[in-house]
Amino acid sequence: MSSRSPNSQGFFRSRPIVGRILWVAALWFSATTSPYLLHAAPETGLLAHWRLSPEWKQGTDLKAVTGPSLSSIGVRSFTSDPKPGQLEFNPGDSGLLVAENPDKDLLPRKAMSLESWVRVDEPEAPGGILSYCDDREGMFRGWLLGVRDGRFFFALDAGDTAGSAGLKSPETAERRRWYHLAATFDGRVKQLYVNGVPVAASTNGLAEIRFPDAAPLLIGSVRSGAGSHTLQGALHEVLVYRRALASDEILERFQRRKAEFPAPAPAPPPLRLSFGPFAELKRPGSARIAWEANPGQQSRIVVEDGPDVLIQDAAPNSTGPRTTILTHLQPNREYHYRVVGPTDAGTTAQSHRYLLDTSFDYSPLPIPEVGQNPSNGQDQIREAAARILQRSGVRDGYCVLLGAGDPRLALELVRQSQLQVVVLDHNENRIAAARTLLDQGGAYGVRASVHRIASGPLPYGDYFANLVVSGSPLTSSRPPETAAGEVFRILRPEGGTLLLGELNASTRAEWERWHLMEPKANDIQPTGEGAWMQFRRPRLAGAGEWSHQYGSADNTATSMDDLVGGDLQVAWWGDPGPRPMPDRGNRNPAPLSVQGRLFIQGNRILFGLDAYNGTILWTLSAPEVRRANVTRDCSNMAAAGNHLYVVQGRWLLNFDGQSGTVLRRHPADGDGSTGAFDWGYVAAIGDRVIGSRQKQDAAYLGDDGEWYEDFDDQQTSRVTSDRLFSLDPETGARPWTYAGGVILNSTLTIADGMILFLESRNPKALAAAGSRLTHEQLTDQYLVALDLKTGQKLWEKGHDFSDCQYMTYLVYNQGTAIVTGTDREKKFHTFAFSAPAPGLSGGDDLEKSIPGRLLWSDTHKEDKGHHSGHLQHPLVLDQVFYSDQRAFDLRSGKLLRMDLPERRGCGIMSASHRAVFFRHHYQGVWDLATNRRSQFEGIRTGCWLGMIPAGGMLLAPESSAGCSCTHAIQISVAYAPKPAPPR
Amino acid sequence: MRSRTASLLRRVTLGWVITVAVVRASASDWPTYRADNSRSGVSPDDVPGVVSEAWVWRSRQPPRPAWQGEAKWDGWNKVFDLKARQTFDRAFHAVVSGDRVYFGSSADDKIYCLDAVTGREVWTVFTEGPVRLAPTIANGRVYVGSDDGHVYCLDAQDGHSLWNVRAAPSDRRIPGNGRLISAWPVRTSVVVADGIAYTTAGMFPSEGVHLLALDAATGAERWRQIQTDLPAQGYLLASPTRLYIPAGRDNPVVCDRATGKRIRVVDGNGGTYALLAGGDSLVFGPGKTGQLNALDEGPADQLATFQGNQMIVAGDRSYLHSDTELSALDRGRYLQLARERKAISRRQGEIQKALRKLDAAGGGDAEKAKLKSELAELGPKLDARTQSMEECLAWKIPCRWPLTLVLAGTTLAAGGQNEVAGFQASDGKVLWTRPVTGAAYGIAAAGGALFVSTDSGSIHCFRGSSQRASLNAPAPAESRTP
Repeated sequence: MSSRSPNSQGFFRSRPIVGRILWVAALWFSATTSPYLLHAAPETGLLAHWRLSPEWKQGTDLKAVTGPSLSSIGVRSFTSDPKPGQLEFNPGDSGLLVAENPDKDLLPRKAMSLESWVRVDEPEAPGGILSYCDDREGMFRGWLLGVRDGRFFFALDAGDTAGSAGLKSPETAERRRWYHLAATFDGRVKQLYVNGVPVAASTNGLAEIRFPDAAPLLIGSVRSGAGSHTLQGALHEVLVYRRALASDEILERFQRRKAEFPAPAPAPPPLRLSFGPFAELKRPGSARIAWEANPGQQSRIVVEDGPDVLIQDAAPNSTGPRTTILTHLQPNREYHYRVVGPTDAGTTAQSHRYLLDTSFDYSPLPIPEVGQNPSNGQDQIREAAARILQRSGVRDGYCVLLGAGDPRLALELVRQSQLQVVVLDHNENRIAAARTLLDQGGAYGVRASVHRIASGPLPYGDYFANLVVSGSPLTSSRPPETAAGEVFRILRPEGGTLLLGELNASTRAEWERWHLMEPKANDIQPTGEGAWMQFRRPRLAGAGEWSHQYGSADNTATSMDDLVGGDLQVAWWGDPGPRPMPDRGNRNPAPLSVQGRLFIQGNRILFGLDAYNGTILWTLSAPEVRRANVTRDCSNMAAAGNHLYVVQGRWLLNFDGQSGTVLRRHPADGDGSTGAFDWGYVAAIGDRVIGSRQKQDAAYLGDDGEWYEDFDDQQTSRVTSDRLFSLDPETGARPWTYAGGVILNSTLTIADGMILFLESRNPKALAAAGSRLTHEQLTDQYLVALDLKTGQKLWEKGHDFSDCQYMTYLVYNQGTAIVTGTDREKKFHTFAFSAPAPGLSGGDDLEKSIPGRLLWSDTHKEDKGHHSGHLQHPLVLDQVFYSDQRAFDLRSGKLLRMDLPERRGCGIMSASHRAVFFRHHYQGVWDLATNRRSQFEGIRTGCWLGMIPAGGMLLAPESSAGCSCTHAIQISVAYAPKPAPPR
Repeated sequence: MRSRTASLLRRVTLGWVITVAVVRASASDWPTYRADNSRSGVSPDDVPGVVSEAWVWRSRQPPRPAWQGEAKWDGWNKVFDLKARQTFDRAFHAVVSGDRVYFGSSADDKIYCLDAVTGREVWTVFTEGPVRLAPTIANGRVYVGSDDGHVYCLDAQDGHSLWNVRAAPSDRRIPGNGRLISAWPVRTSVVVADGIAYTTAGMFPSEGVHLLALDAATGAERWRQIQTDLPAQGYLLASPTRLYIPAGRDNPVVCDRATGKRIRVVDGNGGTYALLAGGDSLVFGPGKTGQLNALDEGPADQLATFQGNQMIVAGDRSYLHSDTELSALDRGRYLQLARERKAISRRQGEIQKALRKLDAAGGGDAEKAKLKSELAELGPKLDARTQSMEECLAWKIPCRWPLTLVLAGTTLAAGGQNEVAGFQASDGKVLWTRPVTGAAYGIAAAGGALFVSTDSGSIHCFRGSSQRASLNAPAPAESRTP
């Protein structure tokens, strides 16, 4: 369980020895320097006291006034302006962890008090102030002071029946007002005080306080199931006593300090963005931010924590689409910004607070303007480089220059592109001269290098070169010395370009001999233009693509790539590393790969990479792009051809895959001006996009490290859609729209000209269609098939899927649609239906070819009872349905095997045509031909689908980020098949 | 006037340095990363009470570290500010031998030799990949590894190649960290001891990670071991009998120096910072949250855990450096108490286990009573040791220079953001602060001078004399292609 082992640091007792020394000394230091302690007398029975104020923050720690200090609390919004000193908790923030599992022996059992000064900004949002409790399985253990239904809330389990029911303040908390709260238990009576006055009491206490088996002690949050509720507001301090404070004592404490807490200032009205923001880091020290506020709303950017940052805004406070350039940004630093704008009332509205992290600038280093000594022919070289770049269309990735005959060309290629240039030669003098020239030009190393190579095979892996150029195109028209087969071997598939010397009558025969020297060369036809010989490598025969969450839109979790087997070697490694990635890749959208590009969704940041060499083509900080818990939803990304489609709120954004430029945007509803609906599902099929509409903010965001594995409505509720439609992404036209039942996003499946999904027709669900609904609400379910072209219903089948309680998946393969899910006892329930493609019979057995006919079903207890084994997504490969640890015949349901590879991890399976990939201790591989199971030691994949076989490669973007384990390597990696041993 | 404590400290420091220095050529050299094969970070040479910048060398491009940093948080455990466990190449770490300064560059793939007095470039040598770790100087030779998979042995005077060995098992090169480099980059430096140069090649266990011993004079291979479970990244360490191989984010591997055979993988929370605190006592970290694990020579399990990023051990005193504080401990007494505490704790466990066994078997009341009595006595003993350990703290001060720490004679020097600082080792008093360009991740101390390496690619020389030079644009130097 290394991936999720709890923090072993206990409450008081388990701190390291020197940590205790430092703690003791820190108290002494604080007591002599803090204004708070100069007049503070020791409190009787005071167990812990945390003041959440800037002066108590030291480095990354929060020092306690009394009790354990908190370490590694992250970037937090502490402020003393306005007073009092406070820590603000904003949407997306987490609570502060005091201890993952406190030492129960040190916590009070017979009597206790909790006390806090708190400000509530969103009373309707449930949140914890101080909590140590577990409410799973309907049982409440421990204690909680927090906010629920707009009121202050105190729950404590003392063996009474009313433990979790708790005490509530009669009045709703006033937004942004400071309150003094105290909650006491004297062994019999529980009381809640607001501003020194008792407001609720219970005498049901029967015994000692009962603790949870395991629960964290949190400030500002409460963990409920595997989800968390963080206070929306601010805390000034929290205290824990091992005695019940007396009522007059509480009143005195309130009276003594109430003057320090001013009346609430009016909260700035929210500014809701229609589009964006998106931030690009393309040059060191500079960022470009694009956004759009709702129609008619003027807006501009303010940077909260960068006083030196210059904001270049050509039209501040204008409406419509906006861009701003930020300059003077420091490297490797986090900035926070907001969009603000005036309101009709004369106040300033403000957006959410957004993060801009300049360490996420992956653009190639610009070459300094030094060492440019114009020499004879320099203009000619410059023009040659420009021609090469223009003719090839290649400007990113790796360029190999065959021969160091004229190293000025390498320097010019670097200066005019984003390329990393590698010059190959065997001549010592030419090598030395090339290195010197490139070094003097400031390019050696970071942008160019010169490799000494011997004759024979090139010492490089396959596929990495985007551009291969003759080193002396101006002076030599002869074929290079390197064999054609070797040159072609290193060329990137799907567009890697070979641009060589002049083809003329005198050299044609030489070129033809060179070209035909190696059998592989015959795969590539010359497309010479003018005086240049140019070859462009096509897609690898047998290569697959991973265009949707589970491979293709049929959800089979396979790419059917024929090239990627089980015997692989590292092909490249590099960024992104763990820093921009979401925690453990838990139930997140999978990476995609089409046309040799790899698209990765980090934590609110998008990446476009060259899949064959790891070059980061583009990144885009997209703080409003996020989706989590795809187990109960669908991905927000799909890719086809040159396009990447990404959902951002109400829009579907159509990106150019190579540049990351947003080409178009399509609203989920109407013209997108209202924002009442978000875009839900997205699939890219041929020249059409299939989309769905859901209510605003229905998607899960997973910003608090939620695990989504427990049986809890807050984790298992399905995201639904109320409309399904087809879109022409070129014109924006919508040929059809389907409005029927409540569509479960996690079941949307497209294959063989059909769209399949489950929908609920429960009237109560229909009334809330498009929102997040529980499985109890989503009753009366139908399996529905629509015609992909027309949107017309082909057939439907009502069925009882009520056992699919944790989740509901749907996959399709070869006329068979399979619904699967687990019940609350973690039993898998699988239902296979005949689903013949339109116009096809669906099989030899006429009876079984009837659309919607149940072919088989299976029920079994989960085989993998750990690491979310009950949430495993199935896989279909060559008419075999793999689910949990079992394999079934797709059509008959016959159990074929139960020996699927042991998977220790929380990830799910993905497959090429020849191998299955999964998370074991490390990245796991199951070679289907040999039944060999192996691992790439030291590298962990994520907690959903993180390894994708596509383009003849196994692509494994970093997805272990945040894992407490000591896995040696956290980086994005790609693997390629090992070359066949020499015959 | 120096205090008696300072004088005492100086004496014990010198004595200790003599015992652990394996490669140090002379008293004024800093011939390898953090001074010696123990990575002690200790120089016997004091620096003047007040230093000034003598020269600064600036790279045209900043270092290109292989590892950007850790995740922003551990969401499951709600732990923020996770420590980067692989920071070995964030600056061009310098080594010093005689009047020369040497370092490698991850930006322009070169090995540099500067004049220590003026900062002028004496020679440079090209490699075919980033040089991420500092060279080692021994017997007038420069030993350094590159991401190109090769180990270079150069003449320290003029940089000419004496030998060049491909440590990688083959010359296969692939894109790695944004460059076309060996699939088996050399990322653990080269340590030289007793005429043998030790190094590694490789970082992906599935490709095989090679540990090599080479004849330091000829480059001939003495032995080669291959590990298939852990990478090799971070500065190698060597004791008289063992090699310590940092394994990136994971825990170091301990090998027999004579054969390269693995002895064990140590227990801890991972990280490439490591120190041999006398003999084979290993301190390493910083783990996930900035903790140093200390292990005794024999056992694989931890003796103690310290909150901090780096440690200096000098005689009977340890200096502990965390993100916010610098402290000094009476090390000998502390470790003795830690050993006693551990023994008590172990005995407690044994008794509890025995009691459970007796409970399960039933009966044995007399034996149980005896054990319970012993257990009751152990608690206060444990608390007493704990209290005594807390009293081992000699001094502690707030410290805003958390990136690196060295001891030069009686002065501690610490690196921070755009600044370095000097402290009196006896009491932690701040002696001076000086500005630098960037985050000071590396300090070398030799001959009364400090050479500070930053993440901007600058190397600042501070010394007591008034001699200064500023080298914003590197002077041309003879560049070699080995």
